[in-house]
Amino acid sequence: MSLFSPAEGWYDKKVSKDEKMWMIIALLLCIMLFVWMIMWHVYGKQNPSNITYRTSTAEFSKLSEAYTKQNMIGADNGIPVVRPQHNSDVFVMSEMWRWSPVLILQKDQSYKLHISSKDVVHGFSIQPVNMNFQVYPGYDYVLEFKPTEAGEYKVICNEFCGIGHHTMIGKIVVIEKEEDLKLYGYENLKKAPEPLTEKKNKQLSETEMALLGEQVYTLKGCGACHKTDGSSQVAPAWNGLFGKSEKVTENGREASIMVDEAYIRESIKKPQQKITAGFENTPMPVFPVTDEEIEQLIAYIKTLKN
Amino acid sequence: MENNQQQEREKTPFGRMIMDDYMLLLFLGVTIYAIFYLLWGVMELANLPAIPEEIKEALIK
Amino acid sequence: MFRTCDITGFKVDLQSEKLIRYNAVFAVISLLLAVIAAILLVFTRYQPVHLLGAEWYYRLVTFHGLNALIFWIIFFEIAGLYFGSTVVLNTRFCAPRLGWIAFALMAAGLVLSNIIILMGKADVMLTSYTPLKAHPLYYLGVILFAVGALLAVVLFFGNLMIARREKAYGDTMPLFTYGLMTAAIIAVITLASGALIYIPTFLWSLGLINNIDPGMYKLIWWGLGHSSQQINVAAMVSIWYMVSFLSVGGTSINERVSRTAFVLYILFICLASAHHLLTDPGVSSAWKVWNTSYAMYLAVLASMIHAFAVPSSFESAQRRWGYNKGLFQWLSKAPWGNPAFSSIILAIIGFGFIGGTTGVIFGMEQTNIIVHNTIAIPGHFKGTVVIGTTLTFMGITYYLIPLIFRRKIVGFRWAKWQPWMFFAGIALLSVSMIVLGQMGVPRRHWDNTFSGGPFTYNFNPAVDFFWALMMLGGTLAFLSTLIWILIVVISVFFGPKVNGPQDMQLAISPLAPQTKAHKGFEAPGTLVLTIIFLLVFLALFFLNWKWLAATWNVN
Repeated sequence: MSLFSPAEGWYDKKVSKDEKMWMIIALLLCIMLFVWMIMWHVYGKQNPSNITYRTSTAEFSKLSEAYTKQNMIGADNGIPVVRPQHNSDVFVMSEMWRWSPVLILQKDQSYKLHISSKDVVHGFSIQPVNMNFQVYPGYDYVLEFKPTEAGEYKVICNEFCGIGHHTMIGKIVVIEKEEDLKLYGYENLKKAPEPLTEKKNKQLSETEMALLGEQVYTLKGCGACHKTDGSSQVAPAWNGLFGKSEKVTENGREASIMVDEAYIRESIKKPQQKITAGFENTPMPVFPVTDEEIEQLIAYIKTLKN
Repeated sequence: MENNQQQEREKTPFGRMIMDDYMLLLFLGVTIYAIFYLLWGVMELANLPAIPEEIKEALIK
Repeated sequence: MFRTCDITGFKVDLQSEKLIRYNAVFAVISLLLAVIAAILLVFTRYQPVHLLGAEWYYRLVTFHGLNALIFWIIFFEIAGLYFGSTVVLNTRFCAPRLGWIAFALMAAGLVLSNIIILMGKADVMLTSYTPLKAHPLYYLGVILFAVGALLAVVLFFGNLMIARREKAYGDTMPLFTYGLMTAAIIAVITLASGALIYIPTFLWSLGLINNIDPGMYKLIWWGLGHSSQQINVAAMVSIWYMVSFLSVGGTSINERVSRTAFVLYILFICLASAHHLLTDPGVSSAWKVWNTSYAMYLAVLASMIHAFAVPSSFESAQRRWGYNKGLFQWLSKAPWGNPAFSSIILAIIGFGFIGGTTGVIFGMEQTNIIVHNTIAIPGHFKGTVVIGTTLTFMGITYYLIPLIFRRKIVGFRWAKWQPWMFFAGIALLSVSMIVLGQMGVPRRHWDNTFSGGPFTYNFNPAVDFFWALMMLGGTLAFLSTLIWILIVVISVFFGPKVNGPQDMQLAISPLAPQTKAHKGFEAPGTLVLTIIFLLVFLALFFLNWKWLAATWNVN
């Protein structure tokens, strides 16, 4: 009779025995589910954190860069590697399209991960353990992780963040004992001394410049798009780039240019000026790098041969 | 006639009156959602603390 | 201007009928656009084929989401709201001219945002989380559509007021209309949240506002995104009650219980927008637990009440017709040849067992950690929105064609097994997506091999099997949707005219006899089925919590 008004007396009709039984079961289930979530906060070991700090992309970039610089012990595929102290604050930056740094963690130790984004919203998804969290720019999400199993884990991005979304993959290594580092080729990574800072005012050799350039490449995240292994999925690869001739679009006109120092300088400062053919859909943002760092990057690019 | 109707009104149980009053339900539905989900949520997002100074100082001297 | 329906006896306002027709036609167009995109997406994610490039993959994910989850559903619901507030109440449409304005706005919104998406100016997904930015006209399109839909909802309330003033019903409206009223109230909440977030975002895309906070955006956006799917739940349950009436002459065995459940929906269901923020920074656990549980699971209680009330309305009527043997004769002797009936039964099963169970489990604060943003999430809502809502809408259309479009159904034999094929396809698709998600596979992701990344990751090798199943299910569902669309389009535009009750291919049952034919429980078969459902739920519940407990510790 759902198409007609109910018969008189509908409001006072007695609820049948079976329906009443089901409703009581359902109500008990609902209460059980509600209490369960609260009890898991008391007895369970997996609860989303309640600590979030308000930050800005600029502030968090500065902090995470400083953190990585202080704690970096090497690089893996152009991404800095950090081995944090347990119970310490660890800064993880997400950006289009990389997670930085790679972390080496000790099994059964806790780490306070501060996670935020430099640009858009990302998804922090640790595999294969399958734990997933959301990452926003402007919010510093503090998650205290305690890995319970050793092994190699990947951090994939599971929130759409642009055309290179699928290339965004990071790494966390959990070790039980020191020898485990060998499994990942990390046994020789050590915190680099900082010899170059003393020579600040002196003339640096090309090799030293290139070394500094590589550090800038790793720290600033150039490697998120520009690879050095010849693959050019979202941006031109850097190996063999210097001295090469490229087709570019400038103000809607096509032109052919030669990659030289002036061109690289311009491309970093005004990425939209000349766009390399084939990469129109992945425009490069402007990065906060100093003139000095640009010179170092140029020196580094020069060393990358095919 | 009118008297009769009035009597009937008085007899209508409270629960049934609420059930039949869709404007009241609309008001309640919007209000509960606006208070618990929206307002509460927005207040929490608007009142987040900044990163503690000691964490910042440890990194940037 | 009215005509009196020679089949049902209802007084049909001709203006209203025309509006219902146009909204329904646009719904079908949106569904067609959505499924064409869907099949391309399935064959892109199925890595051995990997059909589309990254750009077009993300473009069509956006396109598919908007057309399937917003346009198809809401156009159809507006048609339903008009039907429930005029035809069912034997009353007139309050302001037909405004009805056409609403329709024009919605249609303009559909065309505009679809064009902008296909031009490649809005590759931002349906969710368009800021700071991802689309072309201003994309947001404008969505706003136009939402304003049109909101106007239509206001007109629905206008119709109710006229009906009440003209005493078309007593104090209490029919249960079907009551459910639609629930849907309309949820729609007001939905569309108001939509306005609250899309208008500032539109201004931001024009450069008039500097910044839209991503946290605030996501919070308010889901007031639209999730609640819009709750409109479906209410509309779908109303249709279930209606089909029980049309196919076996059944009615809720206790109107007060069914109505209470609808009231619980109105009051609490929209809080569940919090399901999307469970692993997000910013909001506290107290906020999450309270909202994700719809204020202590009161809306889940409502769904469980319907889970008993709807099947028992079939069972009780069938028993009164004399199909009283054993626990399930009422089911075996049901009108399975009626495609509307089989659609609804399959929709109830799929919605409950696939969509409902996973919805509650994934929507708990902690278990969300192991599924958030994995492909299990779209897997879950394929179970709710596609098997539940879409199949229900497909089923009721088999009644709308003769009653509203006044045409016979062409290819009725195909119509009889179309719901089964659709159910099988989506069930396969949905379950395999849920399993893939539990193995960590992300949603909205173009390349499972992570080509071009600094590292790579290989999922559990079992994923290959489930990808194949998903592809198979997707193909079945795609074909059966095409069959449905063909049946509808050919019937509506070229079908033979219906001239009276003799042309009805689907029976409309008279009311079942009032006297109770059996002793004891009113619906023992339903009770057994709901208990089975409960056991399945508990099994999945404990399985998921076991998986969660095996992950790293985090707090």
